[in-house]
Amino acid sequence: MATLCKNCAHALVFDPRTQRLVCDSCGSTFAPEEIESEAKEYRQDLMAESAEQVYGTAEEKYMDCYVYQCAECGGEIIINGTEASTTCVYCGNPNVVFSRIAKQKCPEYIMPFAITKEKAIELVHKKIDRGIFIPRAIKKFKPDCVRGIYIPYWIVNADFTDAVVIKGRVKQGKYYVTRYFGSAGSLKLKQLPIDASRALSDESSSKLEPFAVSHLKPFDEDYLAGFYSNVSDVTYSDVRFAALQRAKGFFEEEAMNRVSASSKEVTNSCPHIKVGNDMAYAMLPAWFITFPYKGKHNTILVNGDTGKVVCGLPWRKGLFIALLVILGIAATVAAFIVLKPMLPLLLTPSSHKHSSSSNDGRGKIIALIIAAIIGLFISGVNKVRKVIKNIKLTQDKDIFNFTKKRQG
Amino acid sequence: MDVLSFIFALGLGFGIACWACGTLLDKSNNIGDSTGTKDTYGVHVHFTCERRLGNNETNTFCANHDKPIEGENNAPRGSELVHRLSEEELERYKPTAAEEAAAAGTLRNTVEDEFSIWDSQQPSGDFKGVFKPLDKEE
Repeated sequence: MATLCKNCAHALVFDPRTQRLVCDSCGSTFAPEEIESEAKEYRQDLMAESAEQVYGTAEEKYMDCYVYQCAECGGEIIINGTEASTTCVYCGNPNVVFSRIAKQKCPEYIMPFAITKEKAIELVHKKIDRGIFIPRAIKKFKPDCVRGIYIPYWIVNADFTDAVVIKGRVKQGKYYVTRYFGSAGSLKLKQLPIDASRALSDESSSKLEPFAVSHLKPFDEDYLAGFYSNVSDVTYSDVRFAALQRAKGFFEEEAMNRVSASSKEVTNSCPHIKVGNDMAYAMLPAWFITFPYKGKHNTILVNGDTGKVVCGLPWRKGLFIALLVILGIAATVAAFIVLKPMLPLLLTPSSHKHSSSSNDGRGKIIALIIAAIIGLFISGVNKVRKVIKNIKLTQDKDIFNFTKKRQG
Repeated sequence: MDVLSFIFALGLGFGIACWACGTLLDKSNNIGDSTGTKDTYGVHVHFTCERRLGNNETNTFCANHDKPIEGENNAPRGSELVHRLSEEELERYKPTAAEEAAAAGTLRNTVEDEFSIWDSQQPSGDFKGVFKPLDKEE
């Protein structure tokens, strides 16, 4: 089903720039709430049939494939089990699978796209142009595929209680000793969006946050015109687990912040969560931009409301190593110039009468230098590991398939 | 001594270089690596107990402060797909008066409270009132 122009009967497409439905043919524009389609009720009964039913084959490649008929040209549209809107591969018109968003399955809210496709690409270029370790080929990337997809979310309220034991190192006299701290309490989650699509990893979708909940509008399928969308396919266990993880993270972060110790970690906890029955079903917008680089597919995400760009990009290893060596040598020389006259003074035993206290002070300085060396290496390596982890997420096959395996 | 100075300088020099390059790489290639925080969602954590634990308390603290939430299990769960609940389902999962009272933190001290809660929990059949608790005057 596509919403048609009242003036020329051409399929309308939602324009994020004007927040109106636009007719490419005659240039007419309409507010989504102005459009009343008479065909909508009839279309609720038009189901997508499984490929197995249509073609009479149980081949693996047809698993999770459904056949829908384009409302405009009658062409066959192949969709997966959770797609709610797509584009006809033959006529290019937007199609909404009404049976998947009808009645109880209908989302309550939608956050319309506020960022256009061109703007999304521009935002990505702005971000990556600044990166000194980003290869030139990536800076000049030409998107292989750009899709605006409405991701299903459940917006949940929840009550959470927890009691945690935190282990930390506390200074006692000259030494550091291990101490345990207990914190018990509760928190309330309000309007926390939880990704309701199993095909998209929670790790990727949570990075698109924050979404401005105040931008939500009552659901109207006309906002889907020209975009892709998926319906919720998560279970109550999935939502409960996701909410529990987020609440636990918030609680532990606050509890640890309030403990004055170093090397803190939670050793024990007993969390409880009650997710309210007042969950709201909403569709939130995101642009998925894919491009190939060295035989791997990379997918950049852009929040369709705020324009936040999310990705971890491959790096110029040669430049990184060269910079590391040059900086390392320069810093070594500088440190040697400082340490060479200082170290003999620090390490030579004092003949002074207060020798024991001054020796302690020297010992502390040397321990501090060693601790600084270890700390700097750990911090640097952790940052590199974080980047590598996000590059893997950007090159994840699941997220590429989520974007690419759609018609149009 | 010079050798020792050189070893320390080498460690510090490459440590600083490692940290600086790691930071630069993080800023350059790791874009938008953040999620919604406590402040984004206006989360306020209310602590009921915060203290240093003795050695014998590390295993018992959680058990002693374990606070299950009333009606925690009174919600759809398991492998059922999440969906908008119908009127009937909402009625089925509605918390009982006792749970609501507990959630609101009210104490059921008075006999009147006990009676009204007990009444609200009874099925609307002929047996209503048969097992009613004794009136305070009785």
